[in-house]
Order: sequence, then structure tokens, then C-alpha cells
Amino acid sequence: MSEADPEITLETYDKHQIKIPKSIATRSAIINMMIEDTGDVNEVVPLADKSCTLNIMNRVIEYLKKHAEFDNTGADDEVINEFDKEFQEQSDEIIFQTILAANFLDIKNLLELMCKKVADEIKKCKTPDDIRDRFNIRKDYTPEEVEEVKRAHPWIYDKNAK
Amino acid sequence: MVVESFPVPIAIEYDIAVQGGKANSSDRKQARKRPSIEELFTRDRDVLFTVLGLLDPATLARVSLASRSWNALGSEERLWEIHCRVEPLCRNSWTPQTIVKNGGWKKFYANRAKEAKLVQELFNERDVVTFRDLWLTTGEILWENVIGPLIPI
Repeated sequence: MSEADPEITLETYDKHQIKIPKSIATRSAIINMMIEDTGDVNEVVPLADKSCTLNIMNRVIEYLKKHAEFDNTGADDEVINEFDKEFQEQSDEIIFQTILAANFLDIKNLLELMCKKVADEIKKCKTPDDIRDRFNIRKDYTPEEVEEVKRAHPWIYDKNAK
Repeated sequence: MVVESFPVPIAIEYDIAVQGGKANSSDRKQARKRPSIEELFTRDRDVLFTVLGLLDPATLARVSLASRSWNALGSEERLWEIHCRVEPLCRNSWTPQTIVKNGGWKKFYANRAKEAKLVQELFNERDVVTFRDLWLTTGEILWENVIGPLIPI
């Protein structure tokens, strides 16, 4: 903890530069690896994935900083959960991009957090129609196909059929 | 001349997806309005399976009924391998041989559910106490504990 914490410069996919402390940056396994590879903390770290735009990276860094703070202060689970929950509340576009960025950067807990959000949104849908509405999916089944797929899932029942 | 009849490979059933791409231009415009989960995750299918891996069998059934391509996603064997290994319905009854015989993890799960459903229908006609007692005394798990009450869809 007492050793110096140099600043690392990240270059986002849309060519913006962000400076963050090394201790934050290395919470991403991929950035950590890239820094170790060059061995030079002054070298700019390019983020080559489409999802790593300035907007998304700012959010990812906000998450990493907050969690670093939680770890250092030994924050209560309750406080952490509250932050996480608020962090999940975003537009679909941002949620999806954050998932892709967390996956690319190999930040496990952020990836899990956002995937769980999407899974929860799917679980909230009580019928296939709800899922189509919520996720903007076009219905391409014929009625016969629907029956076939229903038969393939015998642990559900069709309440309209009874 | 002998005409051999070959068994239909199981894989064909999983192939019903994909051909859904003939949307006309107004459909496409509509689809642009909101980000589509499929569109975003086509770049990384593994991530999509991280999400689907968090879903229970009932939700996965709804996912499969949403569209052809979602059915293909929801039929991914690795999702069902997990459910077969952990759900009370299957976890004590699967063996590598039974999985092969049933035609895969999802089919095995479905066949077990079908059996359980039959048992439930049989016992529905008698009183609940008998049903409970029988399942408890034979060391089996209660239907409700097995896959829960039937899930309306």
C-alpha cells in the first residue's frame, strides 16, 4: 500500500485519453497484463474493443474506483449492494456495452453484476410475448412451430390450452 | 435393392433457427429503435451464455418460445448440462449413457419432466395426502419440490 501509485494513461476506442491510478487500472486483468508486458507505466494502454468508448470507460472506472474504496475501507455489504444496485439501473444500450467492456477487460465482478441485471430483466417477463416486447424481438414462429416448441418443454403448461 | 433408412440426426431439430432474416425494411427500422440484445451479443456469444446461464428452466422455456433464434440459444446443451446436474428432477438420475440415449442434456431434462408430469396427473385424481405419503415414503422428492407447481406461460 505504501508504494507509489503511478498514473496510467488509457486510450479509449474512440481515441480519448483517460488517466487513472495504476492500482485502479490493474483491477482489470487485461490492463494489468498489458502494463506488465511493456513494463513501462508511461506507455499509453490502447483499448481495442469497440465497447470501450469514453462514455462506457468512465462508467467502468467509476465502478472500479468505488469498489477499490469499498475494499480499502472494508465497507458493509449493504453499502456495496446499494451502490451495485444503482449502478445496474441504466438503459439497455449502456448495460449491454458495459457487459461487453467488462468481458473484454476481464473484470469478473462487473461482468457478473451486469449479466445478472439482464437475467433479472428476462426473469421479470412472465410470457414469451413479454420477452419479445422487452427485448424487441420479432416473432418469426408459425403456429405449428410454437406447438412443437411447447412440446419440447414439458415442464411448462399452456394456461390457454386448458 | 435394399433401401436403408437412416435415423434422423438429432442436430436437425436444433437447426430450426437462423432462417429468420427476411425482415422487410420497415421491420428493420422498427428493430433499430431499441438496442436488440441479439444484435449486441452476436459479437460475443459467450457473454450471452453467461446471461442465459443465470436463468432457471421455466424462464429458459419462455426464452425458447420467443423466437427461432432465441430457441436455438435456449437449446444450447451446456445450459442444460448445468440444470441436469443440479436440479432435483435430474441430478440423481443422469448418467453419461442416459444422456446419449435421450439425445442430449435438454432432451433428457424434457423427458424427465414429462415422466414427472405423468406421475402428477396420475396422483392428481387421488387425494393429496396419498400423493405426499407415497413420494415421501419411497424416498422420492415431492413433485412441488421437483420442478415446482406447473408454470403457466
